[in-house]
Amino acid sequence: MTTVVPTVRAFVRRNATLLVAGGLLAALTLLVLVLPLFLPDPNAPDPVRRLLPPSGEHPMGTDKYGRDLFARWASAGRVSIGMTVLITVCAASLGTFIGLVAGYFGRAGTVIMRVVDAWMAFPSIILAIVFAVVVGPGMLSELLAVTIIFTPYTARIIRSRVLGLTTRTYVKAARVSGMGPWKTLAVHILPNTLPLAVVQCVLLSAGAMLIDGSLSFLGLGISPPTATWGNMVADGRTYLQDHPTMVMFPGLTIALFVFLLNLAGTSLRAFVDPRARMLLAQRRRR
Amino acid sequence: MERTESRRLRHRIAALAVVGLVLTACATPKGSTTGDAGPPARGGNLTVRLAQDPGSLDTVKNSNAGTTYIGHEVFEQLVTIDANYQPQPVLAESYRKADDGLGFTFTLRKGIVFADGTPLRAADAVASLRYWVDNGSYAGSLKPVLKDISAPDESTVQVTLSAPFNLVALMAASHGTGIRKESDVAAAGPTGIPREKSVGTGPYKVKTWTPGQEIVLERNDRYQAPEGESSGYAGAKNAYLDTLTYKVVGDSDAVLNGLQTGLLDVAEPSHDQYDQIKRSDNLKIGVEAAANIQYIALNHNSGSIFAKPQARDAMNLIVDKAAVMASQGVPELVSASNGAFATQTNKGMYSEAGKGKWEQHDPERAKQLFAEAGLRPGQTIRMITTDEFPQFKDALVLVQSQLQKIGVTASIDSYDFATLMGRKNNEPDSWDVLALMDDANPPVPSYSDNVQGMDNMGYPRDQLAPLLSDYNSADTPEEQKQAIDEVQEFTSRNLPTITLYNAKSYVAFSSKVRGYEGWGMEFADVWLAG
Amino acid sequence: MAAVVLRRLRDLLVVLFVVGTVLFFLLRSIPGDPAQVLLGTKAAPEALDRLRRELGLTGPLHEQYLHWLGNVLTGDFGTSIKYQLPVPQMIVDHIAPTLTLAVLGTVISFLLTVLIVTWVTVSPHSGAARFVNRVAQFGLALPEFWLALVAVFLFALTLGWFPTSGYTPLFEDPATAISQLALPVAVLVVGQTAFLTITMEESVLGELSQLYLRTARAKGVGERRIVLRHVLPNSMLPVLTTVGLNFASLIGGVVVIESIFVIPGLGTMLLGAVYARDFPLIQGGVMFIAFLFVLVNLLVDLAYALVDPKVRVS
Repeated sequence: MTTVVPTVRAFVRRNATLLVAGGLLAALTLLVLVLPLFLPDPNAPDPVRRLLPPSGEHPMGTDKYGRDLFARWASAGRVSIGMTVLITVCAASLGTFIGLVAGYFGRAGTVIMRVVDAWMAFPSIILAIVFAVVVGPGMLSELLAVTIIFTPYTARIIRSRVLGLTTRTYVKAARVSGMGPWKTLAVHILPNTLPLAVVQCVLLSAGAMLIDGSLSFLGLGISPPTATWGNMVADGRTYLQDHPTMVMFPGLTIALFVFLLNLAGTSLRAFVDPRARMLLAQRRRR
Repeated sequence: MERTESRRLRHRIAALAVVGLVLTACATPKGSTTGDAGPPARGGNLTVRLAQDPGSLDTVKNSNAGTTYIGHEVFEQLVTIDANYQPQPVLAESYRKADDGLGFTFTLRKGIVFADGTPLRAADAVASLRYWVDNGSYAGSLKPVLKDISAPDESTVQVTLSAPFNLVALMAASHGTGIRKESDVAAAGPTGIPREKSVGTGPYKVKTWTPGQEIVLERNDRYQAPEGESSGYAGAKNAYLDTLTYKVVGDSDAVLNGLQTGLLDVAEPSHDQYDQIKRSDNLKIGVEAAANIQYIALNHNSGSIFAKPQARDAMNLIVDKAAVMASQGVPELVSASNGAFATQTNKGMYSEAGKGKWEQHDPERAKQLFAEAGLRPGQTIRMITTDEFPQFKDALVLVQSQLQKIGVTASIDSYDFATLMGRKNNEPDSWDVLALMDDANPPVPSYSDNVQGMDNMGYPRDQLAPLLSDYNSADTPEEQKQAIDEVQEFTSRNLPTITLYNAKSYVAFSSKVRGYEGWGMEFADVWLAG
Repeated sequence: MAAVVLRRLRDLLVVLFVVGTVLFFLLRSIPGDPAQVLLGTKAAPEALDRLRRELGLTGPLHEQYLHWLGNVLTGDFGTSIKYQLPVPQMIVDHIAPTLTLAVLGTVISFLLTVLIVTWVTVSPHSGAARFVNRVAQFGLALPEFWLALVAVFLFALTLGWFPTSGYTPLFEDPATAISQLALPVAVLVVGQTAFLTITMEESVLGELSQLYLRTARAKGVGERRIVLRHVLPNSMLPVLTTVGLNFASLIGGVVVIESIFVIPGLGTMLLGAVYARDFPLIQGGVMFIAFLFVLVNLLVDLAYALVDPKVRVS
């Protein structure tokens, strides 16, 4: 019992960044999950109260329809965070899978990489527009478009890692000892690419959260009246000079969220990845 | 000196604002540099914003707004509209209507030459008008009654008709009637007359054209002004400016920024930006004469709930037009449509025939009617529009929330213009409501979407057609008025669209621009303060 | 090596073929066509049909496709419907602004990254490493689109240091061009540098723990020399990949920046072409971007092979 306290203390000291970032992320997520229950309808217009500056009644002011921006901010958080998680999971797992296969199976890998090349070579706006037009702009088209945009990047990075790993002695040893290719992939290669996949996840979730604003800007984002932090920035920009808070609040929220995500992701790697643990130690040493 | 001071002060204020000081009561001194207009000065350049590169100056085939703007500086029509929308001769010295009303004779002004030195002949006018009739959407109503366009001699153009038609008004209001060289018209390809074949007789001519970036016009030294004071597109233009630069700026916020920092001299910003521009010291606002009518079209096709008249009436009852109008936040620029397809200032076409019905607002009754029309619980009303103008989505967002109050769900999908048109025409069962706008001063009623409807089938056009021809053949203003009332009665009963409000566009321009009130995007008689 | 390059060039053609074909059928399947955009809402159905016929948009899809493919194989990429200019010329006209942005953004970010990481690695005391990493993480978190808005608001509108928008070719009027490019390039550089710094720092730390360094240290090689001669060069590999990939994606992906700063680049052209349904222009533009993309990737892979003999170019 007496040894537990110092261990916890040591753990906290070692992982302060992770705990703080993770805690804040959780708190923010919880906040946007719970807040809308106590706030007015985020989509209820009130033409009389157009474009009000922040006040006690409307902590973030109102937009051009007279909708309460704080309520919209909170409900946007749900959508933005939800979409981010969904896109990240889809793109990271698809990309990792493709990367593993392409990296490990030489011949098939070359073919796959040509396809991935063609896929990446496709300008992403065209992809996003095509999806928005075919599926209709909205959550599904955004999910599809962003997943498709991000997947090949993960695939390529994972593959280059796998390529490096296949020349390692222990992988060769596994092969020689008669271990099947899928098992080798699962036992020896996947764990070694996982940290990279986690970094990719972090960058992906960051990208996913960031891209929503750009899509909304081009009119390809989630359809109205649903708010996202990204489309709040896009909608508020007309009033940037008079009501800078309309752009600042959601924009800074995105920045904060992505920043915390990055920090947490990086620290998290130390648990998953011996290499990252070593890197962390290296960084401490300095 | 004073300018520098005021700029420096602005920077100071800005710098303070950056570090987070709240400045509320800090009034920037009004620039007193504007002063009174001195005598018109020649020279200088005016930079005008274009939302897109129009691609060509074919004012007949190319529907882009930029084509119209530039076309009016480069080409002249036989007759055009003045500031009061009245037809005035330009290239025509005079025109005469035949006694039986079945023909018009235009006499060309003598000694007119195109910008490249070629003299203007009647054959040029004939070729241009034929091209307009064959390809122009405005000319659609003229086609059935047109017999021939001919040139009996070098300076006479004759148009013969099979039924009376108010030809001069239509020609004056149509951008496509600008006169070009016969050889340029002959060079027209599938997409129209190519950009290089854009020689006109107007006050300006094309100097350079950088695709996707800018189009520069320069003064046409061979221009010969018609008689009369400059008014609207008509009258003598002085062509004070050396050059007119049309800059392609797609992003609407870049437009506002560009106006405020002097990168642009003239632009038509969105309603959302009106308040900010109004407060800007170095910008003036001119309200344009032309008005648009904002509407939502209801799909009469069998795949839509609005095939049922009850549903259409329900929609009329639930849409709170006044609230939609108010949500624009620019009371100076909007007015109630009263259900009419033309503005109240357009005496010849405005009718109050459907006003009573239009003004009704009764959510309870709407709910009942939707149920009668067979709207299932959980059925979604699919509303579509385009992002091209923010007010379309604004209107739908409000309609959506008004529908929600009576428990009807509606979705909004906003596309680029091409997709919207493709949806509307090729997938007629994939939508219910479409938000758009139209010219609130159509040359003829049949030209208005609010009369013709936006859908392909289902709308009883066969019953509408005789009413429209009554209008075309009306001889007296009283007959015309009666025909309009009947048309309006018809549309009010069938609701091809529900008109929301009339809106004027406005022009924001630099305070150095003189001789300009914002009537339209016409700058041939504008000069710059020294 | 030459055979490998040849094979990769063959692959490049395959990629172009795939991209072109997929795009052809994608474009023909989305609603809306050039005739409708050109002639507008009021156009008569007959006029629309006539224009479609004249543009070669009618008839069976596979015939249209074969026709297009035949033209492309003979080097004819068609004419822009809207501008009536040959597609290659349109691309040449719009590539300069985009390349300027992409090259400046990439080069400046790369140099900055190398400077920052070298500084951090050579003088690891002062806790700078931790600090740099955090700042980079934050830089990476700033939405580019938002950053551009804020930059315009602060530095162009409020302080008036730079114009709010505009583009002048760099060699035509360098002073104007630089003042116009400053903000868009700065916005790109923030994100790119942040990303590259994280990648490179990561790589450096990995390299620092390698065993050979211990050997080198044991042999008495100075720490500074170790860092400059071994650690930094060896950790360039992932940075190179990232630089290559980022550069390539910038060519087709700076639409939002181009739009906010009114830069008439390839992205803006392509976006406009999609909205106008200018099929030949979209087709040519996308294939050109794909070509550049694959080419840059090939160069990155070759660089890989040069830097790290362990990886053979396959």
